[in-house]
Amino acid sequence: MYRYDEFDHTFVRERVAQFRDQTLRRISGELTEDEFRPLRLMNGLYLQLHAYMLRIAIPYGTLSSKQMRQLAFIGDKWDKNYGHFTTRQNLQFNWPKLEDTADILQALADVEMHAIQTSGNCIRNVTADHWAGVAADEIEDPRPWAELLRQWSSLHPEFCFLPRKFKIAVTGAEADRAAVAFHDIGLKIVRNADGEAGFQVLVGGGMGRTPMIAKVCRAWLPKGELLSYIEAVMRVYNLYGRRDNKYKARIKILLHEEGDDVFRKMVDEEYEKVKAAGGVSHLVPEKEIARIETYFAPPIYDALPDEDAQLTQHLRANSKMARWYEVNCAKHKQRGYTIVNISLKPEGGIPGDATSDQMRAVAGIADKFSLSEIRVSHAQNLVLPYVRKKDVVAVYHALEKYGMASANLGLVTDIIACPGLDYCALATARSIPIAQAISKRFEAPERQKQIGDLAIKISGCINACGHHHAGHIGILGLDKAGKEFYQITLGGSADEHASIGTIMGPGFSDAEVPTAIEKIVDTYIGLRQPGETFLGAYRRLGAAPFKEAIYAQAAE
Amino acid sequence: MAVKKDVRQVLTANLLKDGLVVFMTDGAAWSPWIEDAAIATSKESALELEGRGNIAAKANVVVGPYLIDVIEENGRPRANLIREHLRTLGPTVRTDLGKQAERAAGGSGQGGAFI
Amino acid sequence: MPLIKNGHYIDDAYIRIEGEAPVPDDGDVLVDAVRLKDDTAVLRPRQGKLGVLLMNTVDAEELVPHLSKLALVALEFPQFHDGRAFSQARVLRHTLHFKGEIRATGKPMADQAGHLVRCGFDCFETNTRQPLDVWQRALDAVRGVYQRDYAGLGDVVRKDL
Ligand code: SF4
Repeated sequence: MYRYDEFDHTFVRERVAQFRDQTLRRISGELTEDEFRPLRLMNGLYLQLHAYMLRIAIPYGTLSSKQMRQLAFIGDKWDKNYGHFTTRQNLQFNWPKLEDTADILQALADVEMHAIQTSGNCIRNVTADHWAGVAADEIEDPRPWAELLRQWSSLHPEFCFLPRKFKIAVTGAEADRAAVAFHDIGLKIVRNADGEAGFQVLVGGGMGRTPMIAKVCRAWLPKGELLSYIEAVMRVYNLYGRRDNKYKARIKILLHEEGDDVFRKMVDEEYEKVKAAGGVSHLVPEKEIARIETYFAPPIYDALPDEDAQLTQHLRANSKMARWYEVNCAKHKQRGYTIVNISLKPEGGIPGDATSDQMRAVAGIADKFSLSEIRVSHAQNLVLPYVRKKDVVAVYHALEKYGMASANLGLVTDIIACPGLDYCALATARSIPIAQAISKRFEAPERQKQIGDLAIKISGCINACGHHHAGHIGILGLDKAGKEFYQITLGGSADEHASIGTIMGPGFSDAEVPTAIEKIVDTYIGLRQPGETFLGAYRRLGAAPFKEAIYAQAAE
Repeated sequence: MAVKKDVRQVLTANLLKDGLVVFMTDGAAWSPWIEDAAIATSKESALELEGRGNIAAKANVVVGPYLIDVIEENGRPRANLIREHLRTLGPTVRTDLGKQAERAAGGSGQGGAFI
Repeated sequence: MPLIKNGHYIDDAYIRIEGEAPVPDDGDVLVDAVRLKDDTAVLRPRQGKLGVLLMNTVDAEELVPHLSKLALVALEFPQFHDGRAFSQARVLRHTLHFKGEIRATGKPMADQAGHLVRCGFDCFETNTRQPLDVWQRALDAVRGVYQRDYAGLGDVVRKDL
């Protein structure tokens, strides 16, 4: 993991002191709310429905056990003993007081964390593949570059007052687990014809009111040119992105309105100017990337056989654990190791919520069995990246003790849901209760297994924090004459074959949603070919049979 | 919010220091309970409430005061919109938290104005 | 509106020439950028400095033919959060190597001081709610800069870069 040096420490400490000063100026009345709002937002502090909310950056979803313990401590001391992991790999506290926020930020700074740029029209927390560094299908570890981007984007002098927020995601693997095509900039490490690794740069993806899949802006960029090239993209966006309408202000709209080719040309021309401007070299200093890379060097792995005989025996004896192992553990690049995914989606629970006790438990397990490292996935789950197969049984039992051994990764009950109207000031409808009802409906393990891979994603408003456009089944909560109702989309996908879901038709009341989802699922099971996933079947069959199934009921 | 003809409105805001939801009472204080809220029944009284809210905002006590529509249930106001109703309760998925929990614990608005 | 430069309030030496009003023979003047194009009288030899006010919808590159004659480019912040002028200033300083004054006009916010300076601004329009000491404090608050080629005087950049 990256460790702060003196420079990083000073930077974050000074920033906390600055915010403490700004908060005091606000409470004393020296600053008005209009003046203070942008300042608190730049430090991740929102005013939500019931209270303030503090969003803490977890850069590219990587956490140490020490940091996780500190989050638990903050939850106990200044909040209500729990936090919410988000689709941006961040953590939100729902009840902090303004008066306490500077102290919370100081407690974060003590463990090399902050809340800078988790809000506002700036470059937000950079996200990455949550299996980075350990996935079997990885070309190269993207984390050094994600860290470089984190530093480069922190209080960037030129790009903190953009037309709109700006999200960057990075992956180094073939399978896209970071949804890069749905980001303002998506970066994918790929090899060129000579076998050299570089970045494929995608631009202009996004969700929200106008969902779009990103376009390839550069098929292959030498890695050292990353920052200068992104600087050119950002400058084009900052100067020409629309500012007259909040819903048309993302870079995707600029790209769409200019057209791919014109946009690419604008960026290329700007990039030539950046390179020609001189001063310091446009390349990332090799020394600096080498310095960062040392922090992400692979750990010293034990030499182990790929299969652990004892584990195999235990799995044979405990079918519940065997199912969990099959569903939640993924192939590691190192023999004898596995990636353990901790589901934060207990059947009927609140997606992404973890209590302070659970956080501490995960920290303890990570210390014992995963080199003190934890990841947060954009699907609101946690990951233990370095578990030896021989420790799997112990890990399972420890998780089970804290209600974190649900065997549902990637299944129908592994639902993404934004906070919705239960917490969020922008919401038009609740999303968590819908997730809970669906999860309850499908809780039988055999049923989940029978259905197989299925991503249900729920947002409480058009902002789409719950990624509903990218759900195999997407659910969007809206308001109709003061009543919550829900629109269903099918066929979205956030992986390397990204697609945007199609709206099926008129919406449903909250009570009707689980049944509608059930009809969709039953239709799939009835029509699928052997081995065909839900998404595969939908892509083959189209919307018609599903529409028929859900709207037939209304006609009856 | 536009003031309507047939008015039943109360004034709400969030406290600056802790962000919690409050309502303006008859005594021009702030209470966490909508039951304590002063109900405006005319355009004039709604505007007057709003004016008092703006003064409190200027005095850095509350943030973003605004009027909400209410209906009266057993002589007590209840927020009309679901969003506003939820603000008087807390998260429906965590009934152990927020005003609903305090209310269940017997803390609800028998007077109880705290500012 | 008060102006801040080099850590002090300064008097504005420039006279703003609105629209198409004639440019006097002497004195420092601030004209709209469009007049550089159509009005040769503006560029005639005269006593006093020439400054232009560049709207934030116009490319800084448009000034290239006249840059050597300009002592001041004033950029605008219609609202503090409209950040186009940051890029314009950066282009003027870094790409076009402009050495004159770059002034932030309109509604820049004191808490943006660090951003402004690092993009190349050296003069700031302010108001009574944001006195000099607030600007100074904002500037001193976070001295480290991660972006090595944006660092200004007094900034701390990561050692090795
Ligand atoms: S999608 Fe809407 S309701 Fe959900 S968290 Fe985002 S803004 Fe709030």
